[in-house]
Amino acid sequence: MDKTLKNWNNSLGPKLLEKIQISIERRSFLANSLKAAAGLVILPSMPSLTGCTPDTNQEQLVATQPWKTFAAVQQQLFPNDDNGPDAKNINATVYLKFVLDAKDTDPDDREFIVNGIDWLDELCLKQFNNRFSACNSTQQKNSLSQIAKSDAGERWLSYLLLLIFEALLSDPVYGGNPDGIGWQWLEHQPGFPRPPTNKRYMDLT
Amino acid sequence: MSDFDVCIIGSGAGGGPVALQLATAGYNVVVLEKGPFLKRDDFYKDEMACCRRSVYTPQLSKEMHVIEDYAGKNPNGTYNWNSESTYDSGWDFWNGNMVGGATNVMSGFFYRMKPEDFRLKSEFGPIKGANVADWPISYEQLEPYYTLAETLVGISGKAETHSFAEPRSTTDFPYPPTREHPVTDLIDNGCYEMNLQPLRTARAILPHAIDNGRRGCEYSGYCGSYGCSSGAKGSSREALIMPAIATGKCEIRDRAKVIRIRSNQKGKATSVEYIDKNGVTQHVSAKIFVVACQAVETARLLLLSSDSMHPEGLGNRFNQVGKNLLFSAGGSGYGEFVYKEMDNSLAQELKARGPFINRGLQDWYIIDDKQFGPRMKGGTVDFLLRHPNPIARANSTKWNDDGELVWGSALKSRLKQAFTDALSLRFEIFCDWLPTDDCFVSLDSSTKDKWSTPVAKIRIGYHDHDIKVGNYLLDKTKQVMDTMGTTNIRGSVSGTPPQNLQAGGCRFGKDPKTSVLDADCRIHTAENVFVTDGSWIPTGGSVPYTWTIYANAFRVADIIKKQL
Repeated sequence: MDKTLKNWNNSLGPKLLEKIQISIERRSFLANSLKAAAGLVILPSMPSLTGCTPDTNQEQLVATQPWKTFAAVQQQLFPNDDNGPDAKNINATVYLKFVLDAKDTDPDDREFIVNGIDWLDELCLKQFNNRFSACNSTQQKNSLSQIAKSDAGERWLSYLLLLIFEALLSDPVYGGNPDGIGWQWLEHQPGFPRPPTNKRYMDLT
Repeated sequence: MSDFDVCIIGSGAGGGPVALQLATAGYNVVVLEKGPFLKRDDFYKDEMACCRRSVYTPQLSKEMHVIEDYAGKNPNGTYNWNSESTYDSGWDFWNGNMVGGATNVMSGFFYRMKPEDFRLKSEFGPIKGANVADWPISYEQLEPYYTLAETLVGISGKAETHSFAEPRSTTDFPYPPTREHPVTDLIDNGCYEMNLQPLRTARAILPHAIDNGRRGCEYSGYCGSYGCSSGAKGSSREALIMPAIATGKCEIRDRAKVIRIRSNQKGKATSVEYIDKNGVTQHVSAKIFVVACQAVETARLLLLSSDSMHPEGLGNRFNQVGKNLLFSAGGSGYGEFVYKEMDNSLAQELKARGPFINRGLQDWYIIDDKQFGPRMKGGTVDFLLRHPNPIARANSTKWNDDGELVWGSALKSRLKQAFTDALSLRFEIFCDWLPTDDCFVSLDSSTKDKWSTPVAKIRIGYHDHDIKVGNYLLDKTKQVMDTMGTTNIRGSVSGTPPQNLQAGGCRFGKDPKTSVLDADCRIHTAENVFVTDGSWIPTGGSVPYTWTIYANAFRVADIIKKQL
């Protein structure tokens, strides 16, 4: 459904909601993940997801699991390639933790995103005798390509990409896009006034 | 003794005009609004707040709709319909749940309907399978209120003479047009080359400050989908509710979810029951009630307001509540002005963000083309820049043309290209969404919201004629896009409803058996209940509804004043 949404968006444009995408990804992804997870052993490693703020330091955060693995996946998805910032530059992992910690994040979404790491690690342990973060770059690319062939894996990656885009292009007040690095790279002119720290979206509801 | 003279349920385009006019006239008014009271200083240009998270609309896990979509035809000719909760599909049908409603987040391109729109059936004849009807009022009766809205809402524009220009009682708009983007010159040239007449689109946006504290537009380029930070946008909150409060006669109760309207043994409404922001059930009585919750939710509330005098729901004696729901038919598309294929100075000009495009075409508002068919109703084409939302834009790049997920350096190249290679000029086509028996609101028997009340079920069938007319306009628009010099032109027409353009469901008319409201927008069977959102509209016109909703609500306010 997510794939067709791209065409749908293109055809209908602003007459339809733009925020539809995250919800559709969420629900479809969840449904698919439950099917996919039926044949897998899910490692019991649900992390503590408290205490993150946009000020959290990316370096310190990625020294611990599961953030180390998340960071490695994000770096493959949004690499350092001399074409704009990479995942690290945009604080993608800090931003991901911010989303997972947010009160309004659906608990099912949160669990699914985290379980995806276990799924990926399980695949890598089986094929390369290493967790994803300890695999070399070729092995990492290989494993991501493999999971992308399943509906749930593809949607997991799709969801992580969406959160990378949010880290790249949301206002820096949310912890990503430091100093507007993403806007500058894509020559995007932000609107004004920009949200102050006491008027982030979660402060309005 | 009633608590208030008038109780208004909903504070958007239907509620605001009534609140202002009656409060100004000295009546005691209360407005019950389900959403929060966000003020001007709560609105920032923040894509997360406007569009990525549920801030201006409810969380679908707590408040959802059920959509019934077409699912094939049976051998006997009947249709199958597939029901799905919007929580499962993610297809959100809410539009701005806050004081001021969806007008807070509108783009504000405003059109009047035309005299022919008020008499569609007698002007163009019946269409098989469509419940086309003439309105019980004429354009001439609504015209003074279109004009009043120009001043009170704050509509800027320039009156122009053209084939389908609506009659005006004033020579021009009270405010001149907003500043325009350089691409308008290219649009104009393309249109002139085809002997078409590009029209300046009116906008509910002030080009300069006015004396009630609203500032002029600051041209940040973030308008549609975003709340206005300057007060220039003519939202119901900014233009009408705030002045109504300033009279001292209007009280706003936000986060107040109305559960039902209660009636006495004579069938007259006496009070509404609502749940307040603390979760406590409250009641408020009034002499007059005005329902303005937007089309779908208005029908739902009336259906939920059943009692011994209104066993099928308030105003539903002849099973008409929720029927003949309307959206806007048509489609959309875009073409690209590629920067590297033009002079560098022009490219730099086109990269400007902030000013509006303000251009539309109504050359085909009525189609008189013998090759296409008999004279028939056509529509409007509006040109616009895509909403700036960069996250949504980036997210659309992650699938390639084969539907495969792209990541890594390939994705970054696509991103860079999508953002920097060209100016994407969008167009939207507005045609009548013909009223049919396959597009209506009912109550879902099993799905309930967080207040344990049945949610609205919306069947979204459409008439094939809508697609036919939409495609006629699409073909014409693609020629215009090509002539003005855009490339990579794409567009489509579909029967998928734009959920932000709702009307109908409680049409007004002379016959109680085929309408819910009388010509005054009063429920036939409840003399003190009026409906003033877009629900009353029997046929949709080929323009966005908002100006017409505003105008009619001003008209009904005058009627209520006489009744009080």
